Amino acid sequence: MNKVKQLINKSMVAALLSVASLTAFAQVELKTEMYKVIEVQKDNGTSKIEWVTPDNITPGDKVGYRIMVENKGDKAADDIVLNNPVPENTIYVNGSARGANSSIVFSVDQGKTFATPEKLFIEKNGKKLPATAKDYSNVRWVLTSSLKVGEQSSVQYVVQVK
Amino acid sequence: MNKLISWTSVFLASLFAMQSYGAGTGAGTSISNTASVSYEVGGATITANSDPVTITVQELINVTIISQDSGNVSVSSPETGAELKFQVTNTGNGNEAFIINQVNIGGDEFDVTPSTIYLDDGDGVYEPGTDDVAYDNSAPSTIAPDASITIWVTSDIPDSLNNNDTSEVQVSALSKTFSDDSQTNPDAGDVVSGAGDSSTDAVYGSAAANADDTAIFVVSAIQVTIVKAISSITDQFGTSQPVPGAEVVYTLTVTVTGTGDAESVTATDPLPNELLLKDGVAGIITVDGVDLTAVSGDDIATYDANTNTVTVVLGTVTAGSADSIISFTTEIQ
Repeated sequence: MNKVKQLINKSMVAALLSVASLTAFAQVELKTEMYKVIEVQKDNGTSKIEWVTPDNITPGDKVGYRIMVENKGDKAADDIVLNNPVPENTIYVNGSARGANSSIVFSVDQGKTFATPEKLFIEKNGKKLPATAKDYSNVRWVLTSSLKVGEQSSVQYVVQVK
Repeated sequence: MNKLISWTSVFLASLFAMQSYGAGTGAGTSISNTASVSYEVGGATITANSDPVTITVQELINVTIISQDSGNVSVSSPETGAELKFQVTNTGNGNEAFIINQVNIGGDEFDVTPSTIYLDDGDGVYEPGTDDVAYDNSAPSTIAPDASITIWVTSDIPDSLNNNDTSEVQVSALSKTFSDDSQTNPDAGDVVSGAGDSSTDAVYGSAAANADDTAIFVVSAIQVTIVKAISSITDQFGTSQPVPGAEVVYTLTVTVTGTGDAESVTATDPLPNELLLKDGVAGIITVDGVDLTAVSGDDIATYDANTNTVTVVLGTVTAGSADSIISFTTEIQ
């Protein structure tokens, strides 16, 4: 009995070690930053969008999330997929998701399936309707190139507080 | 032109709807966000999460105040406690109380003296001192997000005014939180730190910064009032129970006071579905003791069976002349 326990313990340690060694090879770190997205009026009558420190967020305000990804390991990381659920009490702002070298897809079913906007549908009163930005539950960025050692990349999107 | 205006207003209404969030996410609510990544190294799939970033939704103080009077409000000169009706709605995302201010707008013929403000008890009927209590600006009651109150703002009208003289009155709502912070005219975006619900910051909204509306008093030397009363109920059992089949006699009393002539005076009484005029268009409507037929076109009294409405065209009535008494018998269905 004791031997069995010891065996299990040993195998668990081994499993933990193997994960640790893998992450040591290619440790991709993720960091999310948030900003208040405001429209600043310029003297010439036009306006520009600025991302500023998020103070005093109230309903109707826009919040921008920037997700930084960095390869701190010693091997290239392939097939990088970034996921972000649209937070509760917010709605995704149409067209706000950006990301270099990435294809951006969305989910309307809490992340079970993803597709590009024109292929997303919702059901309302038994009818199949094209999904709109407010239906999106998750945003996904599929990076089209691998992240080399020491390389950084970032993606972003904007939500509006309900 | 009319069509153009209505389309424009539809467009504006839809724009407003897009920017409107009702009360929105409650003050103090946390919005947390965690991103995740999956990637492959040497055929193994690895996942990682970012640290969560969290924002707390602050209290947005917003309010609308809207005049509920349709058109100008007729008053006498002098008159004590002439009332204006306003609806105050908390369109913010927290509980907030509001201080109501009344000021005279210049450029018209007279100014009023602000008097008591009353809080309607919920029936929308002005009952000062009975069902409606004085609105206490020093300790106004809190209004929940998206909830409304109806207030009666009363004024005293001066003596010796001329017929058709007008006075425009502006009524505004100020957040008590900002008033308590000695900010009597906050701009949108102004903040009182820690004064919001759940110790959030209170942020002044653009609706709150523009929360005022106006109404206009007009001196009318002539006042027309109508009072409806039940004269009798007679049921088929010889008693006076209002049961189906019982006959109910109503009396409308139209009174014209002041000086001058009231023109085109028409008394209209849309009956509820449960009551029909006895004998319908073959029935009788009595005006000042004279029985008139209910059929349309032959006299001043008409019953429209389609709309179930009694109408009596009294025409020009001189102020101070005897009351016009209209009575008719209905049957409970």
